[in-house]
Amino acid sequence: MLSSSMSSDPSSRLSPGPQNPSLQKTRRAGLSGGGFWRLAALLLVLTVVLAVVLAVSSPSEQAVIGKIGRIAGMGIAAICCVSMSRRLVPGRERLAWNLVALAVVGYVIAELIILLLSLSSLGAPIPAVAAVLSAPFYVLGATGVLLFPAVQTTGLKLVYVVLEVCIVVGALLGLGFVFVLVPRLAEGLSIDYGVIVIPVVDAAAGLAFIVLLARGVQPSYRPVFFWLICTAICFLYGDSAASYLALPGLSSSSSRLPFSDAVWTAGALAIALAPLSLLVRGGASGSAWGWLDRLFTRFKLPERLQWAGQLVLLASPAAVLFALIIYAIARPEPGAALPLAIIALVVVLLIIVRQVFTVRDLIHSQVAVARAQQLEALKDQFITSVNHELRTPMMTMQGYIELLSDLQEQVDPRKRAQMLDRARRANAALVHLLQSILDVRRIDQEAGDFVPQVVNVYTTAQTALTLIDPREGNIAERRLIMHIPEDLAIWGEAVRLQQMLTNLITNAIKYSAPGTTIRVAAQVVAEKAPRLRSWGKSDIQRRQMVEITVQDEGLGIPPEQIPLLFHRFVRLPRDMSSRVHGNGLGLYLCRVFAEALGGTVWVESTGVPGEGSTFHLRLPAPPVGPVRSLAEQLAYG
Amino acid sequence: MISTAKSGYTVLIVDDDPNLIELLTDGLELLGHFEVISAEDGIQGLERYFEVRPDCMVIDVMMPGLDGYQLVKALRGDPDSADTPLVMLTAMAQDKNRFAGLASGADQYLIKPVTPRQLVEAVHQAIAIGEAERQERLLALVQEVEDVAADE
Repeated sequence: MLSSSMSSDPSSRLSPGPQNPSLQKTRRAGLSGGGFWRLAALLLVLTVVLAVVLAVSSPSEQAVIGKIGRIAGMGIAAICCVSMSRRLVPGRERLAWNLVALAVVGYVIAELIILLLSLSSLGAPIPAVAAVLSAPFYVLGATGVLLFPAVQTTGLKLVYVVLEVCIVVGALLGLGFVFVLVPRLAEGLSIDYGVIVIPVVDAAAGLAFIVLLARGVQPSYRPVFFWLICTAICFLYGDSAASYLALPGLSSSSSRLPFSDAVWTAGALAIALAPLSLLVRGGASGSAWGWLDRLFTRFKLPERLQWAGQLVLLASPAAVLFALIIYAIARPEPGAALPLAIIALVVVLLIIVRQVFTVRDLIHSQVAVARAQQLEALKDQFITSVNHELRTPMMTMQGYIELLSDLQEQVDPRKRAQMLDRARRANAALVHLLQSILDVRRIDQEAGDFVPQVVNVYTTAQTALTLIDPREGNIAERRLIMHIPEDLAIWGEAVRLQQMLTNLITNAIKYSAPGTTIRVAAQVVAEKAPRLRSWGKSDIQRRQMVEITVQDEGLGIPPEQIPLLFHRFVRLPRDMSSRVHGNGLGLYLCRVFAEALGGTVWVESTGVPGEGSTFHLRLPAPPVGPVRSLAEQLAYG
Repeated sequence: MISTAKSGYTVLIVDDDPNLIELLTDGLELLGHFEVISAEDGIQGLERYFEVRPDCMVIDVMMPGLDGYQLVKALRGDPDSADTPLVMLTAMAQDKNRFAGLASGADQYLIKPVTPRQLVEAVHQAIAIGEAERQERLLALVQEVEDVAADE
């Protein structure tokens, strides 16, 4: 049975729709944890070997070996991305992976072209050409990464994340302009802008990943983003070094930032680890340091060492970069300021990252505390509500049993029968209450368990009326007006619609006085698709919905108490002291069912007695055209 | 056959739940042999009180409109009704409610669920206390009125 709640496992996003071929391969048959570690270790060894080889080879050889290393790394990354994409159903996540895979493949092609050009008689291409060839990689890659369902289910909207990223990127570009370009321009340097753009884009990409990670990436994606940050930092250093060399007017070949090719290659390999980390079965723990946690548990190291380990990992790139800065200062050369500025920026970014992580953890714990308090309050509500409902039938039952056993023959048979009947009724009320408490679980679990079909609203409403419990109120004592077109239908399930209508009409009866009017109406409304649920399908721009309203002329609901209404076991303070009985589940059921059917329920009320309340239930209308006839075929066999 | 020997006392029950009124009426009539009148809310309770002049009142705390505490205060505030034995019924078990109930002037404060026998017992005790303390309460009220008059 598929749960309707979101989770990080792609297989649970599948809706119970017809003939979905990916339904068969929902299990992630990936590498086991051990396999991942072996592969990661292999890649790291490769990086070290490459670094050593590059360090000992001549500059011309270095360029070639570096390129080959990068192509290999990107090739692995491309394979992993395609593999990830093939496991998913058409949708936003799959599109994101496709874009990233396309970006990586584009990069491999670009690198091959550059390599061939430099090996052939034409010579190495100018940086601007290299920039143009690599542009697709950055553009497609960034788009793909931003499309990832990175946000958690707490309701954070992607648009806010994108806005944040834009602000950060803008700030970075501004900083880069001020510290890097302006001094150069003041000295009269003419600049090939393509050359400046690449390091800046690297830094922007890195920052984007950091911001997304800090804002709350869903747990299964955190290792991915962590590896992508490592990639961006490596690329930033490598590209800055290359661009620095290519800036005209600066002395070049003797002053070369060390290990730039090695670092770049390491970045390419890190990007391969990103999708690889997703292919591991048994997922990482929630944090970006999941792999570190696993490492520590494997070697059984204490937790304090874990924190030290995190700090070291975060601080060591900074230490390395500081060392490089000192090296650059010790060997002053014209134009050393440019990489220096970029390096300093990176270090500042790392410090910001640390701060962001700390603040994020703080916010998480605050949210957790607030949730816990909310839960306590709801529990108290529940206990008060149940307390109130339980005491009367219990007392009645107990009282009559005691009376009957004490008085026995002293009471005449008719009176005895009457007392027994009252005890029996109290017993039934008790059972009904306890049953409804158990029903809560059932409501949650079974809400989404149905196949949608065409359901006629008018006939369901008629059925709902007959099923109103007379103990809750008598429909005959109210004037009932129904405005429902006979052919109006919704796309959903009949029993759930009937239960929702029974609940809403029963409430209208319970909370209004005899002789007043209850109006039940239904009509078609059009609404724009409120959320883009998946980008892969072709969405209808404006969805047809059916809105059913139940209006009464009773006491109404104080507007400040309206947000409380649709939760479990909530009854308004006013109702607790009155003789009106209820278990606080009716509106909760309406909300759960409405959402399971793809709609919503809400209430409008002024809170003025006599003006009553209007409950709105909005549900999807049946799809039109060929889809509808297919749906009807499926429904009616 | 029910024993027709009535105790001679009249009890007025004020409660908004008709099921409970049925139970308490049966309990008080059959076990305590009281004559029982009922009212559905605080206002009706006051009206019936002055119509019937019962020997004891059984008042539920949680009622819409005029609730139990307010009804007790109203009765105790009026010298005409201040000496009536009052039994309060509530579902709230906290000490502060108990104290508030007794402080507001009730003679007995019972926490639901209450069996008919317990209620009959409480009514008897309230009536007994009432007769003893009636003089004291009346004197206290008179004293207060005299004090206020002396201040003016």
